[in-house]
Amino acid sequence: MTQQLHRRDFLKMCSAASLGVVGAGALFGPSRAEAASPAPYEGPLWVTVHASGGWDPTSFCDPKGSQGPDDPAPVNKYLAETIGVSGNHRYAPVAGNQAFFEKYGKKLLVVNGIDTATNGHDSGTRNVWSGKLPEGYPAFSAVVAGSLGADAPLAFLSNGGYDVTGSLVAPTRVGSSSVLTKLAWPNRIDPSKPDGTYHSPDTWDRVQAARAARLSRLQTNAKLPREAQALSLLYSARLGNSDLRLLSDVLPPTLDNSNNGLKRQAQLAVAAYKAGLAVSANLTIGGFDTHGNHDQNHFPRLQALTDGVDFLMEEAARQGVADRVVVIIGSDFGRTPWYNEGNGKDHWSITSMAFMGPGIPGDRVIGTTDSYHKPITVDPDTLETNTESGIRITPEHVHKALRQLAGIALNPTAQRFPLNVPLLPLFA
Amino acid sequence: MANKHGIFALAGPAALALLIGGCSVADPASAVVADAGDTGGETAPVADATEADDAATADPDGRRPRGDASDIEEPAEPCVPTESFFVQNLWAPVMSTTCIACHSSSGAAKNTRLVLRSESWPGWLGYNLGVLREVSNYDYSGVPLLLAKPSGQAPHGGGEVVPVGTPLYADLAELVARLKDPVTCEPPPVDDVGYFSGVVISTAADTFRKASLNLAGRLPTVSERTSLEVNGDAGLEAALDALLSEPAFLERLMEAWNDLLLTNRYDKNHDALNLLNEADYPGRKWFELADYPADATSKNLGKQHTNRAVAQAPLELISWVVGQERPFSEVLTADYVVVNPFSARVFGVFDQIAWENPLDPSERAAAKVPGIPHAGLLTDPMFLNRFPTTDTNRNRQRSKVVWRLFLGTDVLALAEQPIDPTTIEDHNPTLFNPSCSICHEIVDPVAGAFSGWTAMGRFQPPEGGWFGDMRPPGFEGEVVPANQSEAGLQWLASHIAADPRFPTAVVKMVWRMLTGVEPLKPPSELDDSITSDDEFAARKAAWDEQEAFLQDVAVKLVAADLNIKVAFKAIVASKWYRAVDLDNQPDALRSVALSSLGRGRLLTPELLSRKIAATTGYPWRSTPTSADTLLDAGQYRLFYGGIDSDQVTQRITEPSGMMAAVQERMANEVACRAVPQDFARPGWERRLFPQVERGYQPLDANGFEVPKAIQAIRENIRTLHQRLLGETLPPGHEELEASWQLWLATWEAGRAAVAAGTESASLSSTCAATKDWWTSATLAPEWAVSKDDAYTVRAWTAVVAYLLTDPRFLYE
Repeated sequence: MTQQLHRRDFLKMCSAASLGVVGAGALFGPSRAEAASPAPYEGPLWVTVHASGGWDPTSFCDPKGSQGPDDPAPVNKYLAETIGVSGNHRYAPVAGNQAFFEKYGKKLLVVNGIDTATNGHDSGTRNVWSGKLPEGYPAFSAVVAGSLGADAPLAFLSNGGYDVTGSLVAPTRVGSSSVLTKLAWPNRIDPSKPDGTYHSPDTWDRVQAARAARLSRLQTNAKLPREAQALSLLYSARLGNSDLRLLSDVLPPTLDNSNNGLKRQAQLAVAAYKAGLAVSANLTIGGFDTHGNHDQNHFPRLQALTDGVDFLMEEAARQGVADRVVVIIGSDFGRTPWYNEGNGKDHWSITSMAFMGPGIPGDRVIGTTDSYHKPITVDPDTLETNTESGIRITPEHVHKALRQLAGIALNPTAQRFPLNVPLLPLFA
Repeated sequence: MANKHGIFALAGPAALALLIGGCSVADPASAVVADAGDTGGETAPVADATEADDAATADPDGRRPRGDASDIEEPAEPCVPTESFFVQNLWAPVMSTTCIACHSSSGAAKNTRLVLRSESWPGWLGYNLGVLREVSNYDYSGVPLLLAKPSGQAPHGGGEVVPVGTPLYADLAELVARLKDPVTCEPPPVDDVGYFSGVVISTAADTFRKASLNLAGRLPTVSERTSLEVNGDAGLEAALDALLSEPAFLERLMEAWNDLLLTNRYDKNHDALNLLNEADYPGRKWFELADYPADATSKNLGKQHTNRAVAQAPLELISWVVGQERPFSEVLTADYVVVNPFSARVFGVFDQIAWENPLDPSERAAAKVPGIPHAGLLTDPMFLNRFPTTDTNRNRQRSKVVWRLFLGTDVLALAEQPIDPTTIEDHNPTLFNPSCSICHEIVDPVAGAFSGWTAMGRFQPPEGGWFGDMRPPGFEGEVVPANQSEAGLQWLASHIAADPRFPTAVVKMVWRMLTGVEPLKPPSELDDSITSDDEFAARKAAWDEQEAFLQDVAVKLVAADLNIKVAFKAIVASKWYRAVDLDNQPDALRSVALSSLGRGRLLTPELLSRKIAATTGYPWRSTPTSADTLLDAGQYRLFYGGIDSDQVTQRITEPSGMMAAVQERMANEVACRAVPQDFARPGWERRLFPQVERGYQPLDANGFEVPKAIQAIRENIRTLHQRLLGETLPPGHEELEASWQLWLATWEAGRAAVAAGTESASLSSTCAATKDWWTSATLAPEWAVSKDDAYTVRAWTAVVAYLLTDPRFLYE
């Protein structure tokens, strides 16, 4: 007997014991237990990076420069003539934008002029990351993890931001890395010493088998939907937790300890993916809600954002998975194309999103805004500007295209939360 | 005519029953529950019909208003209360979409008598019916204005939206009649039919166990359990009264409120004290002053007690108000702060109070800080710092929090339709542009009431008054009187306390604390995940039922002078809290309707941590004085879905693989300690093993069964199921058998391994009980538990570890 059951052994055992799915509370589709597959997830890692508070696209990827001291209503204080260019990208000449666009421009797809239709933080964040303004829709990270690898033990790593799951997959929050090995080896008294265990290997297997059988009996008997759902989620959670040891094998010896939280989040996300445990991850960085002294406060956050994304890509390269990481960068909404009396910028419903990774054409910009950061409508087929009969790009369009990119548009899990807009060729 | 889901095509009685709530699908002809619980219990038989106007009787669909004599002869026609009639026939198809577009507080018709509220407003239904009732009193050329306007018989800015002669016009006419003479219906017989049909509820004793673990972190005493088993529900209220009087309940209350107020963020180092302005509070670090000579350890202890009391002052106020059974509105209206002897020195009020023991951090008192116009927690520096403001935010965040916590209103959800701020051309959009004013006319007056309070929570009224380009400080159209401008929050607090949404918001807070889930929300037409009309109707029925219940609890709360304990008792005693099973297998729609019922709340790190200690007798922590492992941010607090009140403020409520690993680790570590330590005590002191000794084995040395030992082991397994899982199972139950088989197989294999020398005859040093864990006193050799050559201790450890990861243990 091995000391711990491997996930596939566990599934085999469950199968032999007729565990499967009973009472999993299938209300409107297959339960997660039913959908669970022992096949390891081999697709890309989907990473969303949320700039919390509402970033200013005009200070990043949709630049609007001042015409000079006589500009009666400057959107920004930097001059239009200083706007940077890298391939097809234009970027604001602030923070670390130049280095970022020069390094990643060839891989980067930017969509400008996205209309979030709100200027509330919660609703904007919800719309940008779920594709829907009303409450209830899961984050894309949850949809893709639930569709492609719900049984992975850390399928959806969340560091905050918008992590509503719609019960498609359980989010995992990562705390102190110092105890990860204890979790990877729950039967070892000291995780570094294989011989000192709480239970003998046989006993531990016996306890786990009894636990699985008990859960199955409870699932069989659960009739009230909340209990059935809870048991189903617990069943899924237990499927892969014995694989956690793989994480400790690939985690860096020490995690980044700088004040840029994105870096530590990135290390964990990449390690979890490298270990075969994760499908998606939410990374978040705050401080973008700059109602006062916008430039002084906002630009350092943009610097930290691009530094963090760069760190993510470098870490992915170090772990040998750089070509399998999809990065999606966004924020609650945008900021006003004017400065308020406190030199800050307030909320503005128009925003941008940026993407890079496998399947995403780089060096490309879709969507435009006018000089006052109002969206210009586009042709839904060509995505060219069309002020006559074009449409505004919304987060729902983006999510429709993202699902297509992930190959989950027709997945029954994703279809539980339909998106009722035309498919735009954003990633074609 | 029909809404998106075509509900109005659901003509069948069953569909109607689902819509109006409380009516059995299986028995559509039965009476129904009045919506929203605001009928005050008044009922009217179906035959007591009001006379409707001619237009209504001319309904081309053959529908007739109540009161038509022929109705009386149609026994299958269900009684439909006015509220349900309104929602079903008028609100959903036209008023919630077409009418409200103009007839809202920000719409084109905002200055008319008819201003409606969306479903995002608590109490929207009663409010809208009140407005409609008032408007229905007006006529235009003999036609009720409510009919004349939308039908074009009277000038109407919105044109002809309800033409004369249409079914919708007939329904509107019927509504006018019903507004004059409301229709109520007999409530259904309790339990036989309706929403809870077939739902099995827990016994009074089991209900109390669930409540006592949740609210006081302990198991019921033997006498409590016995009393409840004898007296049943009749004894529940008295038991709950005693439970709610315990200090542990108040601590739990503070924990729950911290999830909302998040001031525990400052409960470390000097964080809370550093937020206080030294000029305002020169004694903020009094323990460092020369006046208080003490050694470094004492000073550090003084710092901890002081900082914690200041950080938790808003939570302490809640605890104080509830502990003294004062009206809960006092958390807003209190003209005092709650201090202990340590924080009293910070606020300069130490000498106001005759302390029993000035070194006791648990002593509490109320005191007035000179120069501060107290308004409960609203004026607390920690609350104000946790929800700060800026020059441009102008207290709007604080306003949003007040609306959410104390008026149950998500102001950002009031914008029912997407907005387009890019169309803004106004000079002052928050005041004049509908895209902004839809929220700002609600948010800004309350924000203005905070005008005297700075971002850091100092009281410094602006010399020039509040901003002239914002709506003036006030609440719901009423402006703070000029002579009270510096006490705007006191004025606001008194108005919120009198607002009917306040008790509803409080009840919903109690609901969240007890159930771990949000109250249901009405299904939205914008929710594309609702796949059918039937599902929409089922969700609506569930919301109707729950909302009516919560409103009923709010009525009880008001009747009890806002003593919040009444709400706790009402919810605990309800079927909502006690539902544990169903006597039939529900179909998909029934499952939707019952979605919020039943066990399924994953215990938070705090709740689980207390349950471990309460049931096993030993907390999960490394030493008796260290932090609980589940609550330590450096260990499992965040892994297990907890919050740190700072960066992580939302709990995770569904288990992940990581959390499952935490559960396993917990079970192994706790069982390793608790089993040997429990055996190291005399039998009458044991919590886990009162019926066995560790020498009890199923077979004797010659291989013969020892029936008494087997009986005792089985009986102790039954005790463990009861103690750890709350399961009272009859002897021989399959679950007891499963646990017995685990014990037996472990014992047999382990004993053989010991005999073969492949396993040690001793426990590991980590698990062995050679010292009392609490005192570190060395145990006498006869009490020490380190040898286990019979393998019984490890067999029991396996069973306890198995039970500690059981869903009945991990979930509430």
